[in-house]
Amino acid sequence: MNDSVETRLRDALVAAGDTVDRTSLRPLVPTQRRRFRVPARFVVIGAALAIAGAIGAVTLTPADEETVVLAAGVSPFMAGDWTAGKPTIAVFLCKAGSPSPSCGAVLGSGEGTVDSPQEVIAEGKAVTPSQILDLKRALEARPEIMSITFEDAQTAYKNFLQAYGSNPEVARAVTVNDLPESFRLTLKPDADWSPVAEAAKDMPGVDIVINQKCTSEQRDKSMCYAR
Amino acid sequence: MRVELLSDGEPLTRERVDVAAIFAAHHQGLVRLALIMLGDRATAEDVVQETFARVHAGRARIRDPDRALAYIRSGVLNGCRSTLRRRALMLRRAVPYEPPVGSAESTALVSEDRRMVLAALRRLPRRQREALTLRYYFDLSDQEIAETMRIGGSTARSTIARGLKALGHALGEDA
Repeated sequence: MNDSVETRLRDALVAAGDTVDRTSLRPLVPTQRRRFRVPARFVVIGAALAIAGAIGAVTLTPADEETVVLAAGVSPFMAGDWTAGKPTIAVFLCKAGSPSPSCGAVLGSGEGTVDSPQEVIAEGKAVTPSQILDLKRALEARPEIMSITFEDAQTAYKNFLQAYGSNPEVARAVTVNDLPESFRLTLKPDADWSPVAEAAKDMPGVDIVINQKCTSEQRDKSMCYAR
Repeated sequence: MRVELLSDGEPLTRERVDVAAIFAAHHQGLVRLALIMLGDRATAEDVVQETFARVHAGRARIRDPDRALAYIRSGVLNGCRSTLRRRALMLRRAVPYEPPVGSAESTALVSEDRRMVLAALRRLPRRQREALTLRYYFDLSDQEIAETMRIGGSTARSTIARGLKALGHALGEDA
């Protein structure tokens, strides 16, 4: 009885299924995906541009895994975490070969993800000493700012090692030349950071302005930088 | 947290399950599965194509290559469920829909008795219909069926038994 139901079912399913033959099937079309042969460094920097302002370091979480890809050479975000009493605002200056549009780099199409990296068509230019001086003067003129310090690449490297040096791979991959110079600003209490950021980001030689207090507090990091 | 460091020149390729190859190998079977569930060929192919596109886009998410096929089958089943649900919604306001699997081109191939069996199968509850198809058309084990349908192994077993009994009842083969 049940045997016969089983047999009839099997038979009917096979007959129905057999109406589909391989030759008449529409071919499957995979989703489109662009490929670039770009050095990984630029690929990841490109990715960083799109999601700028991740957690202190440039981290890029592919949608698929909880793997964090930490890119060597992407320094602004490697500025370290903010703790009370430290300068709030970091004004990062352009480095030679920067992939940032605000340093004059030209980027190709691409979404800046691992699957669709952005190609760097033309690299950006480094900040010049006179631009640094102009910027310093402009910042000193701002009423919101209490103090300004200049962080050179050496210091940046030292701080970076302090923050991330416990990971030998990271320490080995990042060199002093990967880290940009920056101005670190401490604002007066209750001063608004956005006019400062707006003014600073438009100065020549400035890559990006990051509010580190904001990145350490806000979930939405896009609120925390200006470029 | 695992930290990966990408250095210059290192290719950005992660080891990935070759979804395209799995689909190529099982395309026909998946379309057949969808066809039996849905009753019409064009929609069946659409469901498989959509599943393929979705799984392909998220292929890096598949961690266990051994279970990729079960995952893909689940995707197709899910697509079929959504389609049937949409169809049922539309049919509330439309004329009854007779899936063409038992008609049109296949009439010549599928005899009267088979049509009856398929019609009875289609009237079974969703779970029983799916489980019976996976068992009697794809010859999957209880465990594979459970994995594909995302239910427990014993549930799969009892669903098949109950489905078979209900089907026999519907076909007038009383025990």
